[in-house]
Amino acid sequence: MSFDIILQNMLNPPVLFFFLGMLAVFFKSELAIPQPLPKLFSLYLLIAIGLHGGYELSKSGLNLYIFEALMIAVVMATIVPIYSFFILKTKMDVYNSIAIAATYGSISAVTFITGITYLNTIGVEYGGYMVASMALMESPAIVIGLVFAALFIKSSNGEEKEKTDFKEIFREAFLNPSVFLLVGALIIGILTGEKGWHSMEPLFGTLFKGMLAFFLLDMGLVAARKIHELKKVGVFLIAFALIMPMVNALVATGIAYSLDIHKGDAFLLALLSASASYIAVPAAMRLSVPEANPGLYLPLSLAVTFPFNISLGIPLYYFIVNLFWG
Amino acid sequence: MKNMKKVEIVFEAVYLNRLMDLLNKHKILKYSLIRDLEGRGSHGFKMNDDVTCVGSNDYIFTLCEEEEFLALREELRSFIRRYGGKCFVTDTMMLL
Repeated sequence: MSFDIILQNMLNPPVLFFFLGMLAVFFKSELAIPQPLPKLFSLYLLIAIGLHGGYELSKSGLNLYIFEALMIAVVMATIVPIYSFFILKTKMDVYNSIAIAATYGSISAVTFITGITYLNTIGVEYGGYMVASMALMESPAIVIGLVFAALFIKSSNGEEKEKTDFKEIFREAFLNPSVFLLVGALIIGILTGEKGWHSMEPLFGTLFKGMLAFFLLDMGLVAARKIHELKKVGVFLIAFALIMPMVNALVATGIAYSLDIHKGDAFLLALLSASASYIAVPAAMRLSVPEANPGLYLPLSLAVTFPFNISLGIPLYYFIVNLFWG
Repeated sequence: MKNMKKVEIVFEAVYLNRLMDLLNKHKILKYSLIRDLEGRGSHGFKMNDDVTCVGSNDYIFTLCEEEEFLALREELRSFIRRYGGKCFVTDTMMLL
C-alpha cells in the first residue's frame, strides 16, 4: 500500500481535527465543545447524509444492482456478529461476547461519512443508495444479540433468565434516533428529489465538511478520554478490535467482487462492515445484556476501531478494493 | 407539616424507562429528573460528553408516603442490584 494513499486520507482536515481532539486530551488542554453541540452535529450529519442519499436514489431509481448492494449490506450485518460471537466466546464469558459481537456487527455512521469524504477527495464515484445500506446495517446486530442472549444466557446459567422486554429493545433497534432520522431524511430526499436537495444544499451540502470537522474534533476528545480504559481490556480484545475490522472488510470486498459491485460502493460496503457501533448497539446491549461490561465494548469501539478505521483503515480498505478492481 | 420519605436515585440514563415503569407501577407519579450528571463514582469520573447515552447518569427524586416507599423498597433494591446506581432515602417533612 502506497504511503501516498495513507497521507491523502490523513491530510483530510476533518481527520486531522480528530487527532487534534485526541492531542488536546493527551496534553491536558482545557479544550471542550459545549454540550449539547456534539449531539447537534451528529443530527446534522445524519440529515445531510440521508437527504443527499435520498436525492441520489431519486435520480438512479431502484434496480437489481442496487438490490444486490443492499442485500450484501444485510448479509454482512447478519454474519459479522455471528462469527464474531463464536470467536469471542473462546476467550470470554457469554455476556461480553454477545455485547462485543453486536457492537462489531453494527456500523459507525461517522466512519461511513469520513469514507465518503475520502472518495470525494480522490474522485471515486459511489451510489447514493449506499446510505440505505448503512441504515440497513444498523439493526440486525442488535437482533442477533437478542437471539444469542435468549439462546446462550439461559443455557449457560442453567436457570430461567429474567423476562426480556422485547418491545423496548426492538424499539431501540429499529426506532433509535439515528436510524429513525437517517431513514426519515432518506425518504424526504427521495420525495423531494433534485429541487429539494438544491434548496437544502447551502446548509446540508456546502457546510458538510466543516460540520464533520467539528464532530470529529469532539470524537477525538471522547476517544482519547476512553484510552485509559483500555488498560483493563487486555491484549486479546485490542487485537480483536484491530484485526476483526480488516477481516470483515475483506469478506465484504470478496462478496462485492463476486457480485460485480462498483468499486466505490464496494469500498463503502467494506468500510461499513469494518466499522463498529458506539451509539445504537451499546445502548441496546446495556438494556438487553446488563451483565456485559460497557467498559469493554465502548472503549474498544471508540478508542481502538474508530481511530484505526478513519486513519489507516480507510486507505487500507481502498487499497484492498483496488487490488480486486484495479 | 407532613412526614414523607424522600427517595433519590442516581442511575444509568439507558434505564430511565425501566425506572419510570417501576415508579408508575407503585403509583409514584410525581418526580423531578435531572439528566446527564457529571461527577466521580466507583467507575471514575463521568463527564457528560459521550456521544452515546451508555456513559451518562441521570438523577431522579421523589417524595412519597412511608407505606408507598415500603411497597416500592424491595423492587427498587432489585433494580439497583441488576442495573447499578445508587439510591438514598431520607425522612423529610413537606411544608405545603
